Amino acid sequence: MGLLTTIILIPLLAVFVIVLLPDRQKQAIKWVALAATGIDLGLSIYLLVDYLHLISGLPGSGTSTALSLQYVERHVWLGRLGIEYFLGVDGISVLMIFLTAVVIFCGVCASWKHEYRTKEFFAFLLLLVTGVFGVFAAHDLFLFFLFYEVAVLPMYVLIGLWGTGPKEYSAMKLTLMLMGGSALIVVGILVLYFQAGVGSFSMSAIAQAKIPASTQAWLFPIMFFGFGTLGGLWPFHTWSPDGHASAPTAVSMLHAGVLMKLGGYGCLKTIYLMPEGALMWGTFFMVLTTVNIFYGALVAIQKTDLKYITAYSSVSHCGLVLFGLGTLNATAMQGAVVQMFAHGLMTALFFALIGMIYGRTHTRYITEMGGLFKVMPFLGVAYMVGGFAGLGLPGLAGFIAEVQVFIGAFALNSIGHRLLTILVAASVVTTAVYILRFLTRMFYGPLQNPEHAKLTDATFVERVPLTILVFLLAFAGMFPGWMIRLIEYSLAPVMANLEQARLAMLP
Amino acid sequence: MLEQLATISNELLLTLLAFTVFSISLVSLKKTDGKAEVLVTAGGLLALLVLSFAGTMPHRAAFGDVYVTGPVAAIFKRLFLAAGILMALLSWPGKRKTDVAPFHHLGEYLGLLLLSIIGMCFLVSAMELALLYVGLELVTIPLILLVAINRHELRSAEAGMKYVLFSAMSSGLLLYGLSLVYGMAGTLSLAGIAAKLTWTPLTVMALALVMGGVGFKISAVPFHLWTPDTYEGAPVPVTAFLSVASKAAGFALFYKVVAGLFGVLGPSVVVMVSILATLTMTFGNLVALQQTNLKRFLAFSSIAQAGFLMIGLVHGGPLGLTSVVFYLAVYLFSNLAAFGVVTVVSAATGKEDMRDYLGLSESNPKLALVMMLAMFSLAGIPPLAGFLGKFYLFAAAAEKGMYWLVFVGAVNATISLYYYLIVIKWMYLLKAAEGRQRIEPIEVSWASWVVLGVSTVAMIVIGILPQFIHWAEVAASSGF
Repeated sequence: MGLLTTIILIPLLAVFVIVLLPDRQKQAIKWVALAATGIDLGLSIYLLVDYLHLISGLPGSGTSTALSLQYVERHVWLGRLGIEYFLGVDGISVLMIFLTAVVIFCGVCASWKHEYRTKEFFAFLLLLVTGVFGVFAAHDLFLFFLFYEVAVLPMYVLIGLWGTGPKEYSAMKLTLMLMGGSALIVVGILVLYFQAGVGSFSMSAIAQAKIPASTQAWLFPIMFFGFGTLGGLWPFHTWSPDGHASAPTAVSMLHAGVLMKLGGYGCLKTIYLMPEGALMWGTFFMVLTTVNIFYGALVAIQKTDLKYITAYSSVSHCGLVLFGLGTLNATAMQGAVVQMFAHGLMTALFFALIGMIYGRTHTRYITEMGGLFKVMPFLGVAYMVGGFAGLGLPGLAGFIAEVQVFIGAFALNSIGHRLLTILVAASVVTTAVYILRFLTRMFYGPLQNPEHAKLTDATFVERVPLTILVFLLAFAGMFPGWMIRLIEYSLAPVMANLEQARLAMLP
Repeated sequence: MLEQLATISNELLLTLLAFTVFSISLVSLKKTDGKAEVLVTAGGLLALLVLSFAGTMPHRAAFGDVYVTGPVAAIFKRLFLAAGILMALLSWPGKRKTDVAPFHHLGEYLGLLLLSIIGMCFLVSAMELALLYVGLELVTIPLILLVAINRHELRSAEAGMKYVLFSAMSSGLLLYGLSLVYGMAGTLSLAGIAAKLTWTPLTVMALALVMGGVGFKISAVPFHLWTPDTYEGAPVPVTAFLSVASKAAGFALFYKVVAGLFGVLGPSVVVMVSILATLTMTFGNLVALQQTNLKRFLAFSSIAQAGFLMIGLVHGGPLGLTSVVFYLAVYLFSNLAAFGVVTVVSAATGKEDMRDYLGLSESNPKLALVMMLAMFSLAGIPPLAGFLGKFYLFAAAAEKGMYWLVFVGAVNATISLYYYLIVIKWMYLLKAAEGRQRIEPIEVSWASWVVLGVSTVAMIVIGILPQFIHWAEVAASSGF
């Protein structure tokens, strides 16, 4: 059994173990979940280091040399359509698998106090993670789509049962919108398969088969909207604020941190599969995502509920991911992938912190907090770091992402694109407004509620996930080289496809 | 002669079994409690299922090519046998509050079930119009009796009445269409007719009549009107059987007469079937959204599912047949799992409304789990079999180049997810509030556990292991 299959199967195995454990053994259930995600974290670090080692021998700039898939596991699976169990990763998938492992490990730590129907909670959570790992590892479109749906559906129960507020409504809205998106994706996959006519669902085979440009012209937006729904693309982002605000801590962490990245990742694959369509529609999606970035930030300014602020800031930040992808420029797309990683870490950090602070103050409204630095300095510092990463402070991961996106987008040779870029770059200011506003409101000044004086700072179990996330945010911000190399080599085939398409489209 | 009889040994043995079951209650001195009848029926059918792999369904033409059991027909027959076993077990007379099946008539009840299965077996093997029609009537008449078998209950009687009227009507349409076809071709053999038909207005009219007649059997919109009331009024195991086995037989019939006879009409058939599919899916889904009685809910869900199945019929070739056969198998087990839970709950508590399932996940976690998996499978969520099934149906339409139909299907799958999730919402999410109580723990008999267990395992395994889709593909490539 290969490394990737092991990574996918461990959470699934843990699901079965948890289902067999009696309901009362809450501690045992948590330990099983922690062990499974811990092993996966270890394996994903090994995968990351090994992959970095692999590309260290390659020549300097990777844009010209494409690196083939690694850790390939390929078996004939279902039927005569050529559905295969085909796993394989490139640098981007490796980075995303690592992100997933980190976030779920931290998520389990952050849910350590979970009490209500614990067994089912962790079973569904780990099932979800199985799907996420699968999506990033799959190279066969059928398998990819299968895991994609596995990753989306448990969310319904997770939010509906353990959430807060109007949870049944939020859960249903989220599930239906995302499944509506996947209805578009399944159409896309089948059209690609039959138009390519290579008798295989393998992504690289379909990408090489050259889908007719006339098909790409209508299929590209369908698939991009399909994945974009999960990626928070305006105007199909509306599931995100409600869903994230209602979800329990670990689920928000995972959903905003990793699942929205599935959308970005899918969009990247769409560009890879349909480069001509991407060239036709790139600018259109840049405009939509500009709305995303601004809309998300402006709404975040008005909200006072911490979860809604973070959810809308996710809409804004994920907009930057899709904006970067839409530019179809190597530097900006690199920035977009870095943004996926950085945003994953910082949103996970935010939602973990919100869960912990809510557990103490029993409010999520920033108007009812103030001066919390005095009673919970550790949580406060962690929140600061997350906030600074969000507004793109140099030294943290968010900066690397934003700068690359802006540079890449500005390099596009037309006034319109440059104006859009200037507009998007200006959004940094609106982002700073809401982030600095809630940081000051919550942590500085005198203690607003005297009751809060009795509160305690983070416990050991809580410090573990926060430390990991803060450390990674800073590490990726100060030493981005390894990340850039990972992404650079994996973007090469996409860029090569785009280049070919560009030449083909010249009159 | 003997060889000819050996060809239909499966049906002969079934007949023998039917009469054995009929006579059990006659020969026993005391009044039976029905357990013996259930055991004999289920055991006999199981034996037949095992024997079918040992040669009771030879691929051989008999009686002057009127009767042929091809690979696809063999798969259908095995599905009928499996559905029969599960339905017999669902009728197991345990401790119960309401009669889901009539205990004092269990012999007749199960015997009629077997007769209906015999009809289905003849139907899928028939290669000639007269036998096809006789087979169809043999399917329908016992089912009418089964629907109305709780004769003291008004609902059941009403359901039976509706079923009689609509069956008679649809048989009339079908017969009229077939007689036109016979008039044009001058032969009853399916292969002979297909060769002689040409495109004329009369052929199109015959096609419309035949499709109308068959449309009733598979409850395609707008011929579905009998479905909800009949499903609601019939005893639950009968509803389960109607919704799976009888529908599978209907699709076999559909494929035989529509794809087999009217191949010459090519595009017209495709257009008609795709319109019918779109209507059926959309209407079934939209009405299912508003149902709260689980039997009615499953009735509309099964109408929508018939619409999905018709997507596969658009493709006349092997991929289409594969997808339909495979999806029928998936649908059979998923629907039986759902009906299994409904039967168990209805027998123990008399409750059939989904709002009564409040808190099922806490009081009866296993039942809730089975129901959830069944709902997910019907909605087409991986890794359950419904996902692969729907994917194949869509692939069949996509190979034909009918991308719009794929899109309609995919959107409908999303709509259907909404109402399947509502069932899950009642079982898992909602908490007891004023006026509504949690459902109490339910004692489930071993027979019901067998049904639920087998269906659940089937739902999971069929979608993951490659053998099942492979069987369907191999069978479909050589035809009925």
